[in-house]
Amino acid sequence: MTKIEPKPESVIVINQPMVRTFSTGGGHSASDTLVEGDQRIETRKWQGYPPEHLNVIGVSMPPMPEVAVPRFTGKAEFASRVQLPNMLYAKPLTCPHPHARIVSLDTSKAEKMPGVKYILTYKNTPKTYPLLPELHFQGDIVAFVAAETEDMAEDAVEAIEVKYEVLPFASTLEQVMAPNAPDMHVRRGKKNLILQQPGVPHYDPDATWVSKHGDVEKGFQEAAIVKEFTYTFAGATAVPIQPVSCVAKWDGDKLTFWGMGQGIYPQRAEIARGLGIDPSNIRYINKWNGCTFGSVKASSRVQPFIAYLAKMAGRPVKLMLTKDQEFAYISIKPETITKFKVGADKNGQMIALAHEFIISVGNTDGPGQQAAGEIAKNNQQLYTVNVPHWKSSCYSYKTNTMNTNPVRSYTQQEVKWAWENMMDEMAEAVGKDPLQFRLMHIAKPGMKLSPVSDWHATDLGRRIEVENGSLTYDSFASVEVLEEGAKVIGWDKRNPVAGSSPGRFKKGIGVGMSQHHAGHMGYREGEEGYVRANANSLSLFGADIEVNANGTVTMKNALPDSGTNHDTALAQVVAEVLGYSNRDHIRLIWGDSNITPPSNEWDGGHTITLQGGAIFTAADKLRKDLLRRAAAELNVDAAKLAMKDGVISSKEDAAKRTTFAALAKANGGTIRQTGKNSPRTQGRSLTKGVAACFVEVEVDTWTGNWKVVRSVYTHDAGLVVNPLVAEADMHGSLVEATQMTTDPIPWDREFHGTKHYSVGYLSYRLPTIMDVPDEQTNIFINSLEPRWFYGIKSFSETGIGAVPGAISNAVYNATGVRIREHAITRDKILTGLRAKG
Amino acid sequence: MKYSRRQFVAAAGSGIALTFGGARAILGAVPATGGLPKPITKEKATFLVNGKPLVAEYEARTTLWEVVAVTLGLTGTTRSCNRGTCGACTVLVDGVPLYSCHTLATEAAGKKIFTIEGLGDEKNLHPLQKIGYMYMAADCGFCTAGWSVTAKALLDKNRNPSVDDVKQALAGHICRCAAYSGIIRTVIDTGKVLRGEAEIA
Repeated sequence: MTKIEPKPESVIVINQPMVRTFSTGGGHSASDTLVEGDQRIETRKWQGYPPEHLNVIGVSMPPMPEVAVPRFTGKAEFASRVQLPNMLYAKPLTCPHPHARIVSLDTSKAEKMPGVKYILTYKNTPKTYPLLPELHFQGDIVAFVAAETEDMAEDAVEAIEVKYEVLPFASTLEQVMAPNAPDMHVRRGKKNLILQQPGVPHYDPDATWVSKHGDVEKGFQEAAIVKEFTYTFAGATAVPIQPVSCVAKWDGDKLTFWGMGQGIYPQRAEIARGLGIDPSNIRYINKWNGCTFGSVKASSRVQPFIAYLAKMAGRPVKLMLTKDQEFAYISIKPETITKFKVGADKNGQMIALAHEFIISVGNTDGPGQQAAGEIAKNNQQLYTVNVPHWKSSCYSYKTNTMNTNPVRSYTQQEVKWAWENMMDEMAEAVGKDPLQFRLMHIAKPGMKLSPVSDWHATDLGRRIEVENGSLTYDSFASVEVLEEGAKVIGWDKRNPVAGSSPGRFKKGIGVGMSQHHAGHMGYREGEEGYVRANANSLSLFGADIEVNANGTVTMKNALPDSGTNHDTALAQVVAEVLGYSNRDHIRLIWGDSNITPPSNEWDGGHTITLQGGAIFTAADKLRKDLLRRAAAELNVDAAKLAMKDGVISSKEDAAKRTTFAALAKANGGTIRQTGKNSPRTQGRSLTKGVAACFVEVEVDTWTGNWKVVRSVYTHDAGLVVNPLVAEADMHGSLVEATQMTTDPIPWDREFHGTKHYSVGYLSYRLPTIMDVPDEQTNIFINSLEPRWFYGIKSFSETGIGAVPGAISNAVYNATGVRIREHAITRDKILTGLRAKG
Repeated sequence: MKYSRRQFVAAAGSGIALTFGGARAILGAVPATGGLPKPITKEKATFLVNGKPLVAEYEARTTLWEVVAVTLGLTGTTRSCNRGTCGACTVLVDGVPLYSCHTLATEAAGKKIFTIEGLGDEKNLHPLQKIGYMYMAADCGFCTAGWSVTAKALLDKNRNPSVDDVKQALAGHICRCAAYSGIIRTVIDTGKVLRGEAEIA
């Protein structure tokens, strides 16, 4: 009889050696010490926990039951599931114009409607957190109504009478870059172009930022071949399944708030600021979310209004935004234009590369454009490490659209869409196989990047681990992600000439790559870098771990779970640190500001390192504390004690033993340790990850219809903690990045760039169960990051930028049709096929 | 034009059935031009929810989702799009999966309603829930209540579904974490357990 066990579907794990032939900054040597950067900051290799004799890490197991089982029973407490007695429901009135001023607003009819309890407009919002009469994008909130039922609130919203003066607007890049574009009043800029402070390195009064190395014009003169390419990306949106939701309930001056986001303390602080109260008056609860994808963080803007409504109405208030409303309050992937000019020598080696990146950042003066800078450079660093002359310029424009911010990564898909198309086109131009062309150019472990002085000031220049003026890589499986993936997909079976396979249904194979900041680490408490990072308390990550008298170990972690299952990996590491052979004794308390210690929020795939830094520090301290206590009780030197499955015993005399439970009892019931970790702003930021995505597509040349039939997704994984959970995460990564390849932001057809979503999912084709590739394999390359516990680093977001380019290149290989204007659609494929004849 | 759920419900007049064997959820409704349903009449009925008769009062325009999840307090059934497009809010009405955000409560009055709470709780998990947990058939779990009852309806009729059968049955359920591979494995292997050909370790 078949046994059903928690095993992944199709995963290959490839281990790399503990000590490798390259070493930078003290990384992959045999020695125990790492010396990082010009400041010679010393830490222990693997943080003192080498990836040897592992029992729990690397084992596939289902997620933490307290988090995951309630998802299957309907008990997971999403904010949208919170039902309180006597509760009111809030509905917003939103602005129908991209830019408008309210001329008059009359709520008198709405106030008299049945069930209506309170209406919030710019006339009565708190001064500390106002709604404004000038509205800057379509969907900006004009009013909130609180009523007895959602239907009653909706009726009242429709009865509010508003007259708008429609103001000049610019929602698209085309509109905002036009000579006659309206002035968007950029705080520091040139008309609508956002600029940096004069005086920063490479300051350019005509660009948002510039990075450069060598003399790119000289490089073009020396080149044997020079090509130019332009690619556009039409934006995308993530569409979390849970509606943006929250519930506010007051008891006197105390507020209980059930929210939705990626951290509870930053959200609590925002509500406190908005209401002008002390954060300690707010209990913020958020344990489960129905996806957040980074984009829901922006929706925290509505939360103080709901808290205020509840206060004024004197009853609990619940909000569940509809899809068309929430699109204005979750961030979107922006519209971008990328231009390349590339010169190569007679051997096909790129020697000069100019890269221009134009981005619509929405209704903001920044700092979005700075983050775009760091991410935008990832594939540039990947491919130009040996290019003697390059220049990268970014142009960020403020527009009348929703905020540009993380959406299943920050700008990865849009940036790498262009880079990966370009690499294939350039390979063809110089007569190279696209895989070989990438292998010729990619950065490899041990290589030094161009000097820090090349990069613009807000990005890499301030990092403290720069060595001899350069950034260096260590754990970085750039070659392996290509070579191992190529083997499994069968790269050699690819069409030698694009579109050459006969028949109606044409198959093709393509590859894309993605470099990313795989888990900036920060520095953890006890490290020299932690003191130097000098982070403020709000930005720190924190955690507690307790040993209880019943022998269980409780992790206390503030971060909510959005399907991320990060606590599963964290618990496996904690179990390993504490000498367990499984995870069964680890319990979790999370997502409630009354019972979990303060911490920042997760994003960018940094949980295993940033929140992990706090939890693993607590586990490390607890391990040492338990050994110290056992040594005293047993009268044995701590160095001669072994810790195994909750028992501490003498290595020399097994009869001398005690247990975690006994030690906890002796200490009044619990032994607790806390841990802290500094954020990534000044961390070990040179830790990078890299991934490759190989796909095989099948294109129906009669209809233009196509699908991904096979995928091989290959990850530079550090050390994969749980292949089962990692695979599930990567399945989502691939399918969602595919959606972002095929579906741009659903702007209104008539007024492009102005209207989005009228009826939610109907106007945006989301992948269903029908869109899963027939075969998908994930390859995890355990590239062992020497700076972190057990060689772990994050890879949750690394590969996600590789997918759009891989699909485009596969469609080209199948059909010979190159699509440079995102999104890939049937129409474009058919048009391209017709043009070919 | 602005197109609200209430207008949609008034126009469609009925829920959207998810059927087996090929059909996806089809939205054939035409936008209503008549505005709000008037007058707002009150109704009262008994619903046989997971085998228990429960009485609810509601307006004529109230959806089945609101009666189940708000009025009767069975909060397991989640609502996402509220437009009859994502499947999160699915419940079984007389054994047939329906989008409860687009089924009027009055249409389901007196009928058998099956929700996630009926499938099993943490002390008594259905194999679908146990295997789903083991196979990562949910990352975030928001759509889970919906597809789980549809999968149960499928397995009630066919204990040996093919991968295509599973895909057809669940095509009306959007999972934004894209846990689709885990969902397919879960339903197929639950069939094996129900047929006595596999056991859960």
